[in-house]
Amino acid sequence: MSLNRVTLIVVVLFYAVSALGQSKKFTVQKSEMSFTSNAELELIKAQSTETQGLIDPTTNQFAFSVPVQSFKGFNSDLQRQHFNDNYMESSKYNKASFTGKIIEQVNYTQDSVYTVRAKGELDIHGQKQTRIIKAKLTVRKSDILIDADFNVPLADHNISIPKIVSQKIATEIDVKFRGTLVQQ
Amino acid sequence: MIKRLILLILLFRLPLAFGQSPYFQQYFLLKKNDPVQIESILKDRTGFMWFGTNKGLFRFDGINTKRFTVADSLSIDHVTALAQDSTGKIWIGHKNGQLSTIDREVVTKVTFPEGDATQEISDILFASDGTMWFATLNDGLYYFNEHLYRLDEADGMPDIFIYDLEEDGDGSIWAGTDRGAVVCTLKDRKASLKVLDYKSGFPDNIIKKMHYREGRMTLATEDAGIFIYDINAARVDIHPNLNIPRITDFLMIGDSYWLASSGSDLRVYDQSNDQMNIYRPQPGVFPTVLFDDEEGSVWIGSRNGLFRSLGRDVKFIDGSPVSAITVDTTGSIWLSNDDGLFKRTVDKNGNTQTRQYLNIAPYTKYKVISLFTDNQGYIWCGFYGQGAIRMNPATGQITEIRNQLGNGNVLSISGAGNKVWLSTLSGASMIDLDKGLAVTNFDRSKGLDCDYVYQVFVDSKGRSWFASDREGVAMLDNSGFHKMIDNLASKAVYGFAEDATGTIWANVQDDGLYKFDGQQFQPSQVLRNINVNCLSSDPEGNLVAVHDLGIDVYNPSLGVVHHLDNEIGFGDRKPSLNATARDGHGNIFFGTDNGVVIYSRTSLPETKPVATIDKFRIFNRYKDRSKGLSLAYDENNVTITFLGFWYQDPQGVNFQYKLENYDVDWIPTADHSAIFSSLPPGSYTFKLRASVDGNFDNAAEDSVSFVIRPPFWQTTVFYLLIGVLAAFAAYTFVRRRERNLQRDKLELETKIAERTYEIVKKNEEIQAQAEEIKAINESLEKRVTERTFELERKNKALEDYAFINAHNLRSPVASILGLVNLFSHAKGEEDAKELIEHMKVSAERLDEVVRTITESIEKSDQFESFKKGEEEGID
Repeated sequence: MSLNRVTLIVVVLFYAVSALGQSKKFTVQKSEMSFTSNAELELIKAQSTETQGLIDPTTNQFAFSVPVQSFKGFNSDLQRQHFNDNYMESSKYNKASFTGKIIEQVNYTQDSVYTVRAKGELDIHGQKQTRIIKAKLTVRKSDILIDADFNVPLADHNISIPKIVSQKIATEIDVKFRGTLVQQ
Repeated sequence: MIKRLILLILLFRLPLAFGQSPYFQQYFLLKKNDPVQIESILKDRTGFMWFGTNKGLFRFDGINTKRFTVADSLSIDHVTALAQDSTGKIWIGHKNGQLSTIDREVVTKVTFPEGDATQEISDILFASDGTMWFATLNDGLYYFNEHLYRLDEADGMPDIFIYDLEEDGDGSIWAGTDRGAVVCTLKDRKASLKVLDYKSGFPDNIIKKMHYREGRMTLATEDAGIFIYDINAARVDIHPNLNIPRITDFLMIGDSYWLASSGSDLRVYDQSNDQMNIYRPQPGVFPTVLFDDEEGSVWIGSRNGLFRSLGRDVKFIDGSPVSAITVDTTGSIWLSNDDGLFKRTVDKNGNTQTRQYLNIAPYTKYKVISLFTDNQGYIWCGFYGQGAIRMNPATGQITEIRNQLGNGNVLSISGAGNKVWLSTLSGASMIDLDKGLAVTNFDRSKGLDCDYVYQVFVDSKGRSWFASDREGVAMLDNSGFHKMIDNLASKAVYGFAEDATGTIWANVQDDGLYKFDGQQFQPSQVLRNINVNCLSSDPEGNLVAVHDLGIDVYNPSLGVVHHLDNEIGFGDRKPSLNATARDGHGNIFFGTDNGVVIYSRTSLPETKPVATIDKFRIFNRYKDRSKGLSLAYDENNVTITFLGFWYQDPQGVNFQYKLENYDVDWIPTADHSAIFSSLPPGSYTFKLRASVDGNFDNAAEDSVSFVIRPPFWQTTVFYLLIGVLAAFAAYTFVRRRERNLQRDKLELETKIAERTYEIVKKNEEIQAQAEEIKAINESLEKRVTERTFELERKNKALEDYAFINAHNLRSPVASILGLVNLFSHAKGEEDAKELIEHMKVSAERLDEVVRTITESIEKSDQFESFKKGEEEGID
């Protein structure tokens, strides 16, 4: 499934839910997604605040995507360029996405904190993997806070690291996502 | 004796240089640089291994791999589930939800009239009642029993994303989903569902994998590890040591759990000693699929590779060369190498910690060449020139033993009970633990007739055996020293071991093992290699010898040697001389030039290679054996190919075969085929058996029977037919002959009758003719008489004619003649005329006479003719 199709799903979900007049979806108002590569010889960090996404409270389905080129940080511009050109091939795979369903039941009408597992397809570098990602869902009157930490093995997504820099890039990347979603 | 108390400071921890691990053999289904993602593993009942991958279906026999793809009619290449039905057919589930089957290498797509699944098939299961079940990732649960049925939320499924299927003892099918386990029970092809989840006490709802055993279902979850559900008691048992998150697959082998979880670690939890071991088949490999076979091998599939491990018998701790090794009472391994002395400890969770000891002066300059753990748990270290120390492993307290020794080069340390023996370059020293480490040196002055002692071994009878470099063996018992050197090919002896029968074995340099017969050591070549570096014995009394070719385990009771080499991945390790130790569990540790080898023989049932006849070929044509083999007389050049399924060491399999009714005895071969040329007609049975150690006793046999029919002209039917034909021909001949004879007889009789008739008739005719002849004769006589009369009459006439002629004719003739004469004398015409006139008269007279005579004769002839005509008219 291409990223365009993922975006399409997000849009379709959005309008479908709205059109049916059911409970309105939650969409990302603000977010920060960061990743850390903690290799033997180098620590690399980058962040993006351009994550888009929504949760449909009626079906527990969700969809999130982030433009790969929106990540900033890194230890140098050259490193960022290598990240986009050599590893993520962001011109070809311009978005990373995670779409699926929250396994646990969540009462979106009552303030509470839920530890849920979001199961879906994590699509990075054009390679999809079915993943279950734990997240903390804080349901409040006006919004939902999402807090999720997970790791991404590069091998799962066909991202190969040249041996010459293997000590500078970790084989598993730690990802953190913090987001606030509001109901439309 | 110098006592020093040194609290050793553990300066640093070594990284995981010493990870204990069994051997993991890697397989490349395609090219080495073309990784294949293993999705499903199956061993069929023949013995073939099947691997469902993202690049097709692979069949593997240990040596050869055969790949099936869409080109072979697979629905798609991506295979995600495999199962074998009761007919032997392999069912293949695909990433796209479709199914295929493969039977005798023929792939067939499966479509259901009710429609096919639309999502990845995660598992296929053939229940004991014959129903086929298959689970999908997000398309529900299907079962096929004459028709295809689908179970989803509307039927009571809590979720339609199903990871795994398992059948319990009651025949119910368990489906692991994201929202608990669903227990499906079929009645009249209708499924009733029961959901087990948090409400049932499950620690987690995401059920990834299940295994049923004796009324208990073991379930692996996403976040709560593995727990056990007692079905009858409806009770959940949670094992705290199995709380491993994100388990993708697991196995239960004996008392062990093999766990694959996200990450590159493969965890093996041994319930018997509550020990978790962490293995890493290869860096960067993430095990996802596990499968265990009858050999005891565990197959590990991952996203980028395939591995197999016996997981038992032998494990390795790869690392630097090890010159000495011992195991303390806590199970920690102490080993020495050029870098110093190290202690390796594994905690309950399988985490390994290695620490260096003696890395303070003056020991940093010493080289530890021997290690030993005494019965009080102290560690002994022997140095090269600096004597030995005794160390309390808990406190680090050291007692030096140096000056009391006859020699400071401690080649090995051994002992029994409260006695510790140091082998040195000047005899041996015995140290009594109960007497304040009192040292007694044994050298030539004490009757030990050798200087360089490799090892002192104390046997179960309390005798001490000394292995020397140049003087063979010395033995010390209550009566003193006894020297044994006569039968030894080499006077250098490295060490000893005692087997289950109490027999002492000596490891002789370059000449293998020698067995002590009570008086002397006798050569006994029972091993593969005569250059044995380490010799020990396991708790069952088997000799365990390590050499460059691997490990030989000799059972003295059975006289059988079990070789361990390729199957355990021994590789080209070189064992260090006498670097061996045993722990309290009977595990034997050997130091090598590449770390440590741990031998721990398990009591798993002995397995043997499975000999299987693969194909039956006549010339270059394969014959389908399933339909029986009845061959024509000229189909007598037979090639039978066979396999020996022994994935531990497929190249080490040897076969014996025998073609009954042809071969007198079993024929050994390492090939995988047997060729029989120009077989005479007859019934044959080809029998095959396999072995890896040359012992074919009790080896399972496979066989195939076939018949080569004789040519039709050599068949009984043909003989019978020929006999029948011959009999028929003879019968026909006789019948025909009889008929001919009969016919001839009739003809003859007819002829005879005819002839008789003819004869009678002829007789009659003859009689008539006789009578006629008689009459004719009588007539003839009459006619003779008449003719005689006639003749007489004619004679009379002739006489008359003659008379007449004489008288009547003569006169005119004479006249003429006279006239003629006169005519010659005539003188003128007148005379001539006159003479002619006279001659005319005389001629007329003559003519008259002649006419008269003629008439007279004619009258006589006419009469005769008339008479004759009358006679003929009568006839």
